[in-house]
Amino acid sequence: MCSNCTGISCSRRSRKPADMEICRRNDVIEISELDPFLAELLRQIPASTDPEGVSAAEQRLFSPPAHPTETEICAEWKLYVNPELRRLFQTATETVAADLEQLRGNEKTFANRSLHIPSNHAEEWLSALNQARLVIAAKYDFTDGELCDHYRSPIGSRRDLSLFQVNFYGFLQEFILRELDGWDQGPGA
Amino acid sequence: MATATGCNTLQYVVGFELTVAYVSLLDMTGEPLWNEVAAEKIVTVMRFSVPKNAGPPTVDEPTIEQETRSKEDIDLPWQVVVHNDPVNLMSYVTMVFQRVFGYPREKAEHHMLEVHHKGRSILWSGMRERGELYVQQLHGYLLLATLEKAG
Repeated sequence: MCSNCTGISCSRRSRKPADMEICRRNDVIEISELDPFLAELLRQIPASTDPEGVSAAEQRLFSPPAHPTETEICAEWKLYVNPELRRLFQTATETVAADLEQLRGNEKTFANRSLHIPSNHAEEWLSALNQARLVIAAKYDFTDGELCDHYRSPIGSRRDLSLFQVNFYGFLQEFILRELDGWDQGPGA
Repeated sequence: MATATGCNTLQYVVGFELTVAYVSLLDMTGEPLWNEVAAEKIVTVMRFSVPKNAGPPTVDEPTIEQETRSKEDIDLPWQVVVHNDPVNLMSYVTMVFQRVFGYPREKAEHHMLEVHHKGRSILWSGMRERGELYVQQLHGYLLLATLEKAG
């Protein structure tokens, strides 16, 4: 394991050699030892950013810029700003989807696979992960308590799985943020 | 209609009250007008008033009042407010504040914690156009941000 690695396991057992590892190697974030379950969660990122017609999720991605009584601002926003934001989010999602092509294949071939995220895609990953987390949270209307319960287990329902997904994506976000901070401070930070 | 006929004389064609109630001396450069900077500014207001029954062709000398406005009266009508959101990570919100407003980490963290504990934080005050730009950037980072009239 490199000095800047973090391990995560989706099982309750203590860490084994097969646990997922995430670390930075030069200008790449490497997620290695992916098991099929976590690999599938990663592959779900682009699809998870889609509000799928759920108005709460759509409203969360495109929140109003002012109080509804500010009709002029809100109307102009819908007309000019929201399409721009939509393009911005779409671009980020497409970049992430292209990176995830590395994980293309059937479940068997996911085992112990690695994913490499170029450092210049870090912003797009942060955006896509955030979109996905917000959309999932809005769809399931998670409470503050649920979102803060990072050790909730086991996964017994679709809702539990979605909560795990939100937390897993949050973990990736945290790691990327930490690495971005390191990159900002120069090589070797 | 009033026309200036000399340095200190005003000639009135039709009698009416001319009141320049407010002369803003605020920066017009479009640069950020930070709260703390604006708070120290004193705005001088010149008021010209003429009696209503003043008629042509001559009127009394206009009285010129001068008053000093306190910081509460300064024209800072819009503020960028960020609202609490249980999904966005604290570290992410801090990074966004640093990037969008150029705040140092300590100040960005202060605002992030204010959002977290109080539900909202005012990140910036100033002209509407710039405020809209900030809100657009914050929405690009998926933060819950609104533009509000100050006061």
